[in-house]
Amino acid sequence: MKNIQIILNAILSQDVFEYILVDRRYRITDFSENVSRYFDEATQGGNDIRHYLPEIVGYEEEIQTVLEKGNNRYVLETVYKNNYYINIILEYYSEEKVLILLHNTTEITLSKLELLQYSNENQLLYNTIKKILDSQNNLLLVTSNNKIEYANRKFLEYFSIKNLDELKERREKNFSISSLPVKSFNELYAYAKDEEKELMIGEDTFLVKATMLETTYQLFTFSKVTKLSEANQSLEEKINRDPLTGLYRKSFFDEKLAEALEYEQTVTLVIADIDNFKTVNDHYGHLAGDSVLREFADLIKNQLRENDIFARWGGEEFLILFNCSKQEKIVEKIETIRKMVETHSFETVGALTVSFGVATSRENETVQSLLERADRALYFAKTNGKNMVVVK
Amino acid sequence: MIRKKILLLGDFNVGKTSLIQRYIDNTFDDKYLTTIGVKISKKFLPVGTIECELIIWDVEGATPQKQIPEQYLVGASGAIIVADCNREETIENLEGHIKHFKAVNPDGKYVVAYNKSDLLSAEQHEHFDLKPETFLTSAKRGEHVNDLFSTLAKEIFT
Repeated sequence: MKNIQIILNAILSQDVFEYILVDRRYRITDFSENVSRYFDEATQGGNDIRHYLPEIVGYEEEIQTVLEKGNNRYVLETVYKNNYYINIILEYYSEEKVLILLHNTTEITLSKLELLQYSNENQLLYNTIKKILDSQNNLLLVTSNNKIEYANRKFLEYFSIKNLDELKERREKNFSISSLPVKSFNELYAYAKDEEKELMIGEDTFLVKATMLETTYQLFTFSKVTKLSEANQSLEEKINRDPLTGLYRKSFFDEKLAEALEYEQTVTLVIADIDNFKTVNDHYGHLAGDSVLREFADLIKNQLRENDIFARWGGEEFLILFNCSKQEKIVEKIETIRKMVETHSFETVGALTVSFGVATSRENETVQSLLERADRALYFAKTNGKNMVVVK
Repeated sequence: MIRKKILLLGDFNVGKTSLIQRYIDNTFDDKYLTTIGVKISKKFLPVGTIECELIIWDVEGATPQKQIPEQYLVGASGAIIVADCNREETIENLEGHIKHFKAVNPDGKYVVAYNKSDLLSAEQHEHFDLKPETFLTSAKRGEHVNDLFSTLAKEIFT
């Protein structure tokens, strides 16, 4: 009775339902008049249903189950047939026949398709944008009304958060990212909305910048600067060092001397010049000469304090800056160094001596005037027998 | 006539419809049109002396919101599991599609297609890590599309 009702319904609403009856061997025994609109060719009784509805291939077992058990029903939804979308319903009709109902769902499916197309295109766009954001080196965070909406991969990795859902859970606990020195993201926004601000998170330093997106979203960009400043320091160190000896260059030395004089500190400047160095180069070659310069630099360096500035002026001339007003003590120290050099045996070349010119800063002293005085002292040492310390 | 149902499964926008279009009609359309539900195509394929027909199911792609309905998988002899070789997430999801297919069809055979190889650089193409029974395909250029279907058909019919 139930099946007759289905067929009647199908006949009464021909636009929506068509039907086909098939036997145990999948032969068509009866069909509704307009069923052929779903197929490429006109339907003929006696033919195999699978020729018209290849969707049945693979469903043979289900058809047999419908025949045997009577109450089983199978539905295959949203099948595209000849410009229509249909649902295919397998129903028990009799012990020998199965009723196949074709339910036209084209109108509603086309609406769904439009939505699906829109949704998939948006998903693709979202995936692309997400990839771009995740590829950023900075930590990115978007909030709305103090609630986290999005964070990029770098942000999640930095705080060891598995995924966005876990991050959003933290929102419920009043942002347990305790290392941020603000109580809410609204406060952080107020802190960093006008310009980049420095922010410590743990041991790392970040520059944080807040930007308003439309009217409710706040984008926070955290740029880690710790590593950058380390890299800058290392680069600066490289620039200020003499590549042969590893000592400071003259330019750096001048800078430090000028700073000290500007702050009116009393400093003592020493110029050291290896005696007869030209003969070293002439007799042993420039490689041996370079080796002497390195050995000499190491020798002196070991005698100095950490805050004394030791630089190579050029050639065989060196500079030492002592932050000390007691000239006698410095002269004593330099004398010790002079004797140590005198008794030292340099690799390849053996014994060498060194002359020193010493000058201590006076009131209104300039870099130039102090250097000139120390240089005059050195000149005096050089022209009066060498291997001595002269103070001007 | 032996008829066998095969499925094309994978995430949305990996090129399942384009692979079928290339295999059946030898054509290609660049425009992305989402598939909804299923669309069936037929391909006559003689295997030795046996007359065979592949019933190819173009199944709508899985999305994060919607997985492929099980009713589409019933009674399939084989499947081509498709990923976009340029979209990592679609490759990661291959295993899930294979499991889904094998859960419904334990004896079913399958091959894997990494599609859209035309978007790879020559170097990426050369070094792409391919395992047995997997193919680097381009529906756009037609690369390895026939191999893909014929390999699966041989697996099924022999």
